[in-house]
Amino acid sequence: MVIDGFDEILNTLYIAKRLYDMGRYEVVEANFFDIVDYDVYYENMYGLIENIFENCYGQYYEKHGMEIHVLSDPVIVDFCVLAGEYGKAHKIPDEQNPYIQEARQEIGRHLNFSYCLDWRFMVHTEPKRPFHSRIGVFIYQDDYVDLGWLAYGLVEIYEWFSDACMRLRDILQKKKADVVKLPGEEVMAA
Amino acid sequence: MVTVSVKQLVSAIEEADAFKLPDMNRGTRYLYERIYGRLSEGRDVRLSEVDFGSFEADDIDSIRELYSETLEGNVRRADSLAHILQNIPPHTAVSAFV
Repeated sequence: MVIDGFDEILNTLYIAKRLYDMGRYEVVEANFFDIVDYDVYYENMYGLIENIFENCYGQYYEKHGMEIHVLSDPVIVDFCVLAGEYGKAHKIPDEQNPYIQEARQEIGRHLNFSYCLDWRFMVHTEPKRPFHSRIGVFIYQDDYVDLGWLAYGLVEIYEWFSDACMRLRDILQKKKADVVKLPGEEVMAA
Repeated sequence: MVTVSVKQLVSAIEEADAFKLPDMNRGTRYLYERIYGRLSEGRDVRLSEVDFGSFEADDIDSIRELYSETLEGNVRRADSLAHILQNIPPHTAVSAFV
């Protein structure tokens, strides 16, 4: 027999596998129906979109036919603070900060797949409140948006920020160590 | 008079080039048997029963390709064949002694 929505079923498995490989399978257990079925595909994806990041605020604006999801997580907040530290150390303004630019490119790479989907990356290198740096995702109801693509993109974005935080920490630590061990100078700290 | 041996027919269908499956690696074979196999028989598949260590993400692309290029077509061909067989008009048997 032909399987209804086999493509969507495989998308669900693909995302579950990515999260399993990332060590975040608990997100699947908490947000996906256990039964593998096309009928629960969109509920699975909505569950994931709202829970892949630690903080999510969602709102539907009927008047504008638009959904907004505001997503944030310690990996995003920490990344912006670290990128800001790098920028200060090199006297680079936030708008020209190569790491912030790279983050915007990465978000765009995963979310620029539909004219009915838009996003904003709000960067705060000196956050004033928890989850201040965040990504706003706008879904316009004018046409079909594959929520599976969106959910998968957000998983990849999460992993990118997570890796980028580690990368930036290494760069900043190495820089501090280089300052301490300037040639011809005494080592000031261990 | 046309006679059909069901055993021979099934065997011929299984051996026909159009229905032959390509070689699969271990991960794709796992997905074929545990996911596609069960769903195509109308049985439930549960995420909690999937062993995510038994396949790679690339194997999901392989089974997707296999489905769109081979399996889906095979199912349609098999359905069509079954439809033809079911609609063969009955042959009136005439006994020689009547």
